[in-house]
Amino acid sequence: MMVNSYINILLSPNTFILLLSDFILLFLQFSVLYIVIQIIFKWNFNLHTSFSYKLENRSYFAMLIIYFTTIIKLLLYPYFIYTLDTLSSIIPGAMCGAGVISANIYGEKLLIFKTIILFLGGIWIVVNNLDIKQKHTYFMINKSKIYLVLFFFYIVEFMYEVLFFTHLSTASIVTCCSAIYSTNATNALPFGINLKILLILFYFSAILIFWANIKQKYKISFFCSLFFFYIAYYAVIYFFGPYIYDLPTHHCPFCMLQKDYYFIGYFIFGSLFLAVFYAILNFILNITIDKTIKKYYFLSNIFLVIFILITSFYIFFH
Amino acid sequence: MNIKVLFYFIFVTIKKERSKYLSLFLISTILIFILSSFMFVVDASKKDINILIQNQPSLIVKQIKSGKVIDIDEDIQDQFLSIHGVLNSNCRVYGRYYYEPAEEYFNIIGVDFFSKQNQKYLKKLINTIDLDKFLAKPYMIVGSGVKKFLDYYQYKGYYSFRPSNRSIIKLYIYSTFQKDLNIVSSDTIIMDISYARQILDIKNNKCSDISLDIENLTEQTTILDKIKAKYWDMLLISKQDISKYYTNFFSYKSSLFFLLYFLSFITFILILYQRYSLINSMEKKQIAIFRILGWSILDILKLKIIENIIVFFSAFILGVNLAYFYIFVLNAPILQNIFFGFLNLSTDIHFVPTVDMLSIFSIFLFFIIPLISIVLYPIWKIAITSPTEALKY
Amino acid sequence: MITIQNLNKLILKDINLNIKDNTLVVVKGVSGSGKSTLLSLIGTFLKPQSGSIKINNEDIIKFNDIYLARYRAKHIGFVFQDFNLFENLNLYENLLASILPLGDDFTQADTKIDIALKKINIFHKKYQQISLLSGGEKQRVAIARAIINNPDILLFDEPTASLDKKNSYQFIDILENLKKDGKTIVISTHDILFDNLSFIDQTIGIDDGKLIY
Repeated sequence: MMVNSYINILLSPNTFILLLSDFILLFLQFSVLYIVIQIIFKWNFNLHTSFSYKLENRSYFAMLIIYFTTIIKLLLYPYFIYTLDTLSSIIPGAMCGAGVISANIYGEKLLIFKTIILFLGGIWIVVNNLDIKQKHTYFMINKSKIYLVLFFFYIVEFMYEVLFFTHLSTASIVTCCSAIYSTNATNALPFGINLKILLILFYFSAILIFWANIKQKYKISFFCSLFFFYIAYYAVIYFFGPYIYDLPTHHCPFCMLQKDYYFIGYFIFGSLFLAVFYAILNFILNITIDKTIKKYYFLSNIFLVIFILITSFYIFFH
Repeated sequence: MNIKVLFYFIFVTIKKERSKYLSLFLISTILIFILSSFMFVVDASKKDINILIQNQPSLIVKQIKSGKVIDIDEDIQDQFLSIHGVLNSNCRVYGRYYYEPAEEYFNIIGVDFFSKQNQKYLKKLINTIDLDKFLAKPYMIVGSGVKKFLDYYQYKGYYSFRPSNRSIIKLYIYSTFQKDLNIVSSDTIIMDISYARQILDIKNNKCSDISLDIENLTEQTTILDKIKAKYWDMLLISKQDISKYYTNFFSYKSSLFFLLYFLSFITFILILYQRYSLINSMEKKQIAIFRILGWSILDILKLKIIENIIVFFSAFILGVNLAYFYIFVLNAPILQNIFFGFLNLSTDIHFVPTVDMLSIFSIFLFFIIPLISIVLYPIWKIAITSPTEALKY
Repeated sequence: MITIQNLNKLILKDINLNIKDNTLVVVKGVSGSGKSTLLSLIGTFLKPQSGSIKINNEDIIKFNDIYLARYRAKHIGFVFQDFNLFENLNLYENLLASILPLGDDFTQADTKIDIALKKINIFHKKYQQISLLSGGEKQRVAIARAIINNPDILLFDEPTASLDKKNSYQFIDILENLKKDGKTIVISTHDILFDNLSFIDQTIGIDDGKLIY
């Protein structure tokens, strides 16, 4: 019976598909690891040896695999969130994905690693797109190095994913989101701040990012947006959440992803992610390939405005 | 490359080389058809069950003795009603009647037609019958599975029950249930509570269990805790518990099917890989010509991958549509038995069209990721064909 | 201007060559002497083991595959000995394959295709299946495919090997017109038809991978 309760989770279609897909992607990544390492140490486009030409051909395979796996990983992220939601209907006590993710010690770490992979994967795609537009393969070694970092996270993430799903059971009761995100903990807020200060920090850092993007100050934009990402997470849960749910005691980042709330969570977290991603992008590009792109400052501001508008809409109009 | 022109070119080449892709297309369609049919049945069944469960009472209380469920005192209802928040209670009398010669069970539900019902389907049912006529004679209402069984064994409009006290209780068929609740109700018989007590040997002051209606569902946990604290010899089952039970049941069946399906899917993948790895010289020359015309390795990769995605995606669309037709129009012959073989009697199940886009997306992911993954290496091998291959005569 | 310096690849050894713009160069040599290899190197779809190839002062060897492919699509047209058309496609679709790398939309593509077909006098067979064309017509389609993006350089590998005398003379006429359009043309051949043509600017002889004249 106990074993069945674990098997029910592992073989539920969504979990099965997720684990299978991630396994296939990891396998593909392993298959190109050697090529990537060869590129980092032996890539010299000015050599006309047959090894050099073969490596060039193999580099296309490696980049193809990395591109494919990164794109699929991006698609699998919302699918992972959806899987958590469907599992909440068979795990006792869970009302949404929050209960499932907190069911064991691996859940939150898994979510963090998946989010980091989103960022790193996006950076790799941008560098790759810039590289293929060049006359010469300037960024081949740089993007291979970025990939190695990404690969490390892929491995850790997969390990956590397996641990997470193998430690979920339909026989154990989990805590629901109202307990997890209870406001009895204002010590739930970081640095012991209160809601007022949280909001001040939220809007202040948003304005700072906006200004830094206009002035194209990528360093300020980078550090500020990382801070903003952290603060915004708490602001959405503890301040904006109750307005979205129309219930002062409801603080859950997962419930707003459900149909009942018109999937608004995807727009909120999606715009937040994109705003921060484009804000940090120019800094990363500058240190890896010594380049900055004006368009990304603009995109960061667009998504930042969308994020602020959606979250603030619920305060003023809902 | 201009996307429209590229797609036009790709469609032209697929059309001209359709024989090459036909077997791939057909096998993919069949595999997707099987998987989608299964998913549609699961989703439709879950939806049906959910509707049924919504009609269930908020809480069911059963008496436990020595680890077994026994009949519960009817009088305890008053104590439950005294708990703040409990709106209504019902003494439920039900059980199974075993007909040994055919090794079949009937589910019997006894209804007190004069008390307030807390199950919507019972309320609905009572509204459709002429109570005076129904209670004037020993009548029963049967599910479609029961009706078929009785017809098969030549019981013309009645059946004689033989309870454990060795008496005979003859009941006549008043009518048959509506089709839309067939998954659980087709082997059920509804009758007056007094007949049910006699047939199932349940004493007059006893019930099979007691159902409670709770006014405010957010208070359910509190009420549950109150009952548990005082009546620790009772088993309490909420709507959510029933829902989870059925979800787990379908999850289990899905998992089993998935595993078996996956094995055949792997076989297909390996065949696909084999087929793609055999690059003939004609194909090599074609790619070499593309390279000379100014197509880069990346362009060739794009061409080949998009070609495959189009073929697989078309197979996906066709497979899903065929599955929809098979399940919701033809009513899933054969697959019905695989799923609902656990039911006692033959069923006349009619699936209500249910399309969960996220389930369909799941099928899409399950199918497309391994397929594209397996063809990437052979496609790359083709794409790096040296342009000088075109110069070989 | 095509400048080749100290080129080594397969059979070719220490090739040094300058080909000026708007010139017609004939490369002569027996089979296996390295004519096709030289053409492949100029056509950028083969990379040398050593040496350099510059086209209009751009060292094309240093380009990555994607850039090189685009460069080839834009600046170089190639006609094969056996034409190498896509037999299962029609004329229009064959030419479209050449236009795709440069990202033209349908309107631009249609214009280019019509111009190229009219120039080679085969516009009336625009949607004809390739397999139904004669040898001479196929060659004209191959030429249309080569010139469709208005490249500076045209390379012909044994262009008259599969043609009868009549079609060969027709080809010579087309060649003369192409030269008048300002193209730089390199032809590898051992057909004696090219021995005494007035509009040939340079003749190169290759033997065993080395330039002999």
